[in-house]
Amino acid sequence: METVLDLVDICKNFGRKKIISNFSMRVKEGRIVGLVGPNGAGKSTLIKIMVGLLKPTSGRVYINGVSLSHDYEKAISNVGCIVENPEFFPDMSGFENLNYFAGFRKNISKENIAEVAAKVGLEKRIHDKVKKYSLGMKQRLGIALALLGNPQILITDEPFNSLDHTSVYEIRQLVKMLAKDGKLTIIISSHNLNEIQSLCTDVVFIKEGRLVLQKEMKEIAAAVHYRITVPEELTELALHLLRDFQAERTADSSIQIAVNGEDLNGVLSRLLENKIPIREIKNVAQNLEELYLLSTGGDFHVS
Amino acid sequence: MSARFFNLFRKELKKTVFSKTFLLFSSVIVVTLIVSLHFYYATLDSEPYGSSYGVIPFEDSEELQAHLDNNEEYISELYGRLEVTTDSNRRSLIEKEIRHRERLSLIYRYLQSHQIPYSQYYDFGSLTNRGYEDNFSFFVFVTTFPIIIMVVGIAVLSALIVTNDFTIGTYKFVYTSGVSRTKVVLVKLGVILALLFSSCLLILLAGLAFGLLLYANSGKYMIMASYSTVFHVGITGYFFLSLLNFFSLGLFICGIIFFISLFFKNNVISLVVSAILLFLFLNGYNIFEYQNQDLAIFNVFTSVNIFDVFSVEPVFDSVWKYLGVSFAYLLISGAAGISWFKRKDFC
Repeated sequence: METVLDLVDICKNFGRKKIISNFSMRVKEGRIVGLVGPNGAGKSTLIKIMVGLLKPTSGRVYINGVSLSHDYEKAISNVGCIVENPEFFPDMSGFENLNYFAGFRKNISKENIAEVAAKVGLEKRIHDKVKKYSLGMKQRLGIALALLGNPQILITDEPFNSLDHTSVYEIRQLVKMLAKDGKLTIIISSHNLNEIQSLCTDVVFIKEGRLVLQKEMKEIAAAVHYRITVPEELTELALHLLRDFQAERTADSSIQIAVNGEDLNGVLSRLLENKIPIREIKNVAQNLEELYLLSTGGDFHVS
Repeated sequence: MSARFFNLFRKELKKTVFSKTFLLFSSVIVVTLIVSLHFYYATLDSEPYGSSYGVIPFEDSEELQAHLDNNEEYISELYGRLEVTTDSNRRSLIEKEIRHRERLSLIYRYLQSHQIPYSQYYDFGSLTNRGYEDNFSFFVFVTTFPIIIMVVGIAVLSALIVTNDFTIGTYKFVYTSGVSRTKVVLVKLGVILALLFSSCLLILLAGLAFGLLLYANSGKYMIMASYSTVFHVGITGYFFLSLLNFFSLGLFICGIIFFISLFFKNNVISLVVSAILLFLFLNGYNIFEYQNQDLAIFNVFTSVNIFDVFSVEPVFDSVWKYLGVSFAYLLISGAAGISWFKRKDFC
């Protein structure tokens, strides 16, 4: 698979404040990438840099190998995006809005517009004025607009924000349907980890403008985690002994550790050599939320 | 590329024409035109000279020569007074009077050499020297207010056409849609200029059409005079000159306001700044009247002035100098606005 989006060492400052620091990321064709981070982590800033609304202080953005700063029109022609809430001309109908924005793209016919409207399930309301649309409908209209001109990359910023459960479900189904043939690369920034886990093939964690982790979702699912329970008064000693491993104390004073089968033997030997009795060993599947909190330094530990 | 550019222009034009702002100003212009027509038509009977141009007696060539001689004599007298006057204020007044009188002589000679009948009803003191010929008066009267409203209306549109996308939030689609920022801005400017030209043309055509309908093509001469040149035109010639005048005026005012609006991302701020600029454009000639006359031409608010378009002085006196300076301002504001807009972050 080819790299369709390449962010190289992106930095963005607003005045003296650093918003993005040395952020590099590669996205392969056909992937669905979830961009996750706490509020103020720089997700929207990064997305605006990806689509050329913000100029990076340093670093480069390549779309299909074309530099966004050198050949903006060619690079951006492969991208459809919805940045923050989709806003339209309220006194124009959905169709009129799409038709107006179609003027910016090459060779978009009215049939193409009707096609994308049907794809996002708006065909019955497409001639209504946008001011009568719900937020979910506007979100779908935004996706329709982003899909005009058959882009290779669809970038959506917080598509589930402020949506009710039905709309979240509809958007999720829509994204799954768009990604079905594997040709469209989708980048979704969101707070909603459940949606990211159920939709995305890759996840990128961002904190304070820095890349914290980039992993394929299947790697996360395949990662073996063991939960080892020792007597509570010996937990601190056990954590000290296992400091070479990524060992964490859990809420019930067990020790959670990410190791493969061979390393588990070493862990157990070390505990037993130091006369720490092992009460229970459990194999636990890793949860995206836990990984997110661990990676971004969230409040995973119980004090 | 050009087909896409034209397609974009067409869609932007349609959106702007059907916008509330444009519809509001268009309605006001139409109402003003109708009211102007009504008032002028209602006062026709009380006009002293009706459609009597060319029929009323005019003074013969001897009379005209006498006017010229008297004027020349008075100019010599004024030069004499100037030599003995030391008070700077008085000297300035005398110089002003000399300029006016020399302009009259220029007109008298022009009338003589072109064998244009001299009518006492020509008011050479007025700025256009149009006299009281019905067709010209009618044309100027019915088009003046609609044109002013049109320029103000399109100046408002110029201030809003770019910032509106930021206020609504549609800029996120406009500037990520595969067309460079410069091209988007040029398309929007093109729409403003197209609206300006077509509105100007329609208003003036309406004035011309109604004038011809009421008076037929009775107008023979419209004497246009500056301090250095004199020429005369018929009503259709005056129509084209007016079109050129008003379009140039609108181009400078709306163009400069458009480019300055590129520095803002909010309708209200853009409108406030535009209102200040418009105020200066409308009143600059009076506000900056007493500044150094040699530098006056470099003050855009004196060289491009909406009311002075109705006079011949700023437009036809050193016309190229004024046009050159105005174009220079337009180019400077355009270069600054576009270069800023290309680089700025859209947060």
